[in-house]
Amino acid sequence: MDWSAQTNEMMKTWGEAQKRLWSGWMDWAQIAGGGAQAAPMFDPMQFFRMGADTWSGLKEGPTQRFAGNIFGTPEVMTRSMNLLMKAWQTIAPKLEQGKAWQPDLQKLLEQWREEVATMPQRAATAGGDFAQLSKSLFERWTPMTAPWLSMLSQATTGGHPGAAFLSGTSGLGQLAGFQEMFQGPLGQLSVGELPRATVAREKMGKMLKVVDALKDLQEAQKEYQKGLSEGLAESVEKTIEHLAKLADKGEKVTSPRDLMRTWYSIADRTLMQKFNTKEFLKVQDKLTDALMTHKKAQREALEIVYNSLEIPTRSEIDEAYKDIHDLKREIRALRRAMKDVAPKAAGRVKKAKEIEASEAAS
Amino acid sequence: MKFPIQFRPEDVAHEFAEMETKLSAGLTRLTGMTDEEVDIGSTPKDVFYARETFQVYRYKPVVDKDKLHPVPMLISTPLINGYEVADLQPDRSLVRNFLNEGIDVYMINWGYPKRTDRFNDIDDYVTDFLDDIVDHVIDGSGADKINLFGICMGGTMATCYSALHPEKVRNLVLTVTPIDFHQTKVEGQPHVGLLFEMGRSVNVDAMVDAFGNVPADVLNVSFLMASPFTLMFGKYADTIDLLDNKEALLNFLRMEKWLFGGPEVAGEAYRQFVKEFIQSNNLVSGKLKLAGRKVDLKNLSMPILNVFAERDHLVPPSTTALGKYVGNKDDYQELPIKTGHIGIYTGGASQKILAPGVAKWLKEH
Repeated sequence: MDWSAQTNEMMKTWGEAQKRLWSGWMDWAQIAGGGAQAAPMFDPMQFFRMGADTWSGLKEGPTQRFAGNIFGTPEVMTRSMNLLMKAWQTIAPKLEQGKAWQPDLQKLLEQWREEVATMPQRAATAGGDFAQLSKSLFERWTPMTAPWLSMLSQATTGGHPGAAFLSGTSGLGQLAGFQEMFQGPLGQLSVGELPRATVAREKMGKMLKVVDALKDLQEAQKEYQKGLSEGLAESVEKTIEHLAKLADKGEKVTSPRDLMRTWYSIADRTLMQKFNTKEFLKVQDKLTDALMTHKKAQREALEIVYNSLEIPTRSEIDEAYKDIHDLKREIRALRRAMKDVAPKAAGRVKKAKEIEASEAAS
Repeated sequence: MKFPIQFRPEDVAHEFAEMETKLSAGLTRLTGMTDEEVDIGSTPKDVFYARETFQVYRYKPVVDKDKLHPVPMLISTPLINGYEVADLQPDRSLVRNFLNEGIDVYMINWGYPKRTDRFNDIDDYVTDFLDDIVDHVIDGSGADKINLFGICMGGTMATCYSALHPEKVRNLVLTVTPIDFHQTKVEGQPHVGLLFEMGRSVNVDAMVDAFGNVPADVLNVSFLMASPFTLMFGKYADTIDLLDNKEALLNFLRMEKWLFGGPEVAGEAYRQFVKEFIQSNNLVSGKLKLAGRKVDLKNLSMPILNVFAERDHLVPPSTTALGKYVGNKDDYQELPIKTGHIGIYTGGASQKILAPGVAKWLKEH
């Protein structure tokens, strides 16, 4: 029997089942999202809104979010399905021939771990560090931020700041001595001599903080993805072990949807174990921290631009909100105090009137 | 030995054909469906009181006035989900069930906090908003006390409130309410209490400082982490089987609408809840202070009914245990229901247990 051909045929069927299932949903999502026709229908975004991009507060178009977050998120989860198929393809012939299949599975899983571990690095290199930075910092604000972007572009390629970018948070210390920067675009800023250096350095420091935060975020993402991919590799291993046990007992999986359910169930159980370990929680916390730090650094940098254009900043508006909140609290406390005092005061007035009436009568 | 994946072409063809028929008919139905059709929180009600972002509803009684229970019941809802969980679909509605039992129901809808509300903290919610609402319900109903019914985090806030103002609460009913935030783990069940596990180590300061209000999507992602494949893929794959049943599909969509339509949480309330409750467990350690006043669980002298879900992986039964901390242990009762965290309000079996059981208990107290 041609094991390879038989397995390939099954996998094709499995792949086709997945494609038909999800493309049906996707077609609908595109229509419902307004991609194909406009109709007053239930908005899928109301109930399919989820995804890792919300951590960074970035919102994309409905269809991209839908496709990216539901049926493709995280990418590594979808890729794990391919790993399952590869594992199946690798071990099926050996299992049927009664040969040891475990070493082949281990080898495959090892390859997967290595592949996932290098994924973010590849993405960073392919995209270009500066391109990523400008996307991260200025993508949505191009008209306002173009001059700053130009300045930063020169800075990141002009010496110390560029080195800072490449070395994570520790590189910020190098900013203190980059006088040569002032020969360039910073020299055109029309502010006083000494203050100019100080102000510019502080501003540039904030800009470069975003660079560092982005670099740290990439590191944290890489660690997270590594942890997740390990969990997924374990899931594949356990699913294959489960299938091997079925083979031992002579049982069959005859429906693509049943196989899908088996995979989801084993993967979820395995991931739960992983997610609940101290090591994974630490990696997840690091990622959350990195995302938040990046978001804050981004805001601080943008506020430099807003200030220069005399636009109120997020921080200034929040300060005003805090004042409003504190004033509201004071008003509530005063109202309550008045409410408590009012009956007593009314009682005193009543008593005084009674005494007055009594005195008048006598 | 045969590899167990054995798809026979004729079986697969049949499965595909069935799937495509259902998808095609169902997606046509979905496409024509309006948001109004997927109605949640539909039980008839009036806005009884509104202030800032929140509203208090009074539900229209369905029994004669003389049969209406004299003590109004206020439902305290969580800040992290919509109030509609108690009224998700007409045939599975806690509110409707209470109305049928002759209970005079009021419910808080905390609404959608805006950026300007980011500085509202748990102090504000409990000692100001909730207290103000209770005063209004007491004044409006003519009763001297209310029955307070808490849902999940809304129950935690109701517990704090009752400890601060026992004179205004005749009975306290809690459902799937976290109390002891350090009793969340169950050996061999890693998905149980995972959210609290995550919350214990998260840098909530960084999160609130970055976001202001914490977006609902962040919370949704955390919920999905408890079963990522099933909740992100499996659930939608299984939905195909519902597509040819309009009512079942509507109910599925109602749940989705509620799940993913939740509010963001006021930043400072989130910070305080995570730090003081989840991380420091100050409610049971006796260190919690709200608006400068100590929240002492020994002040809980009113009768208490504590309802928990035996299969709850979000708020495990061990987390809900309040009995050993209350002042009046003789009037403390627990009611376990064999269901999950949301199933306690929306599950079929629970419809016959929760509201009737609570109503009976309230009428006896």
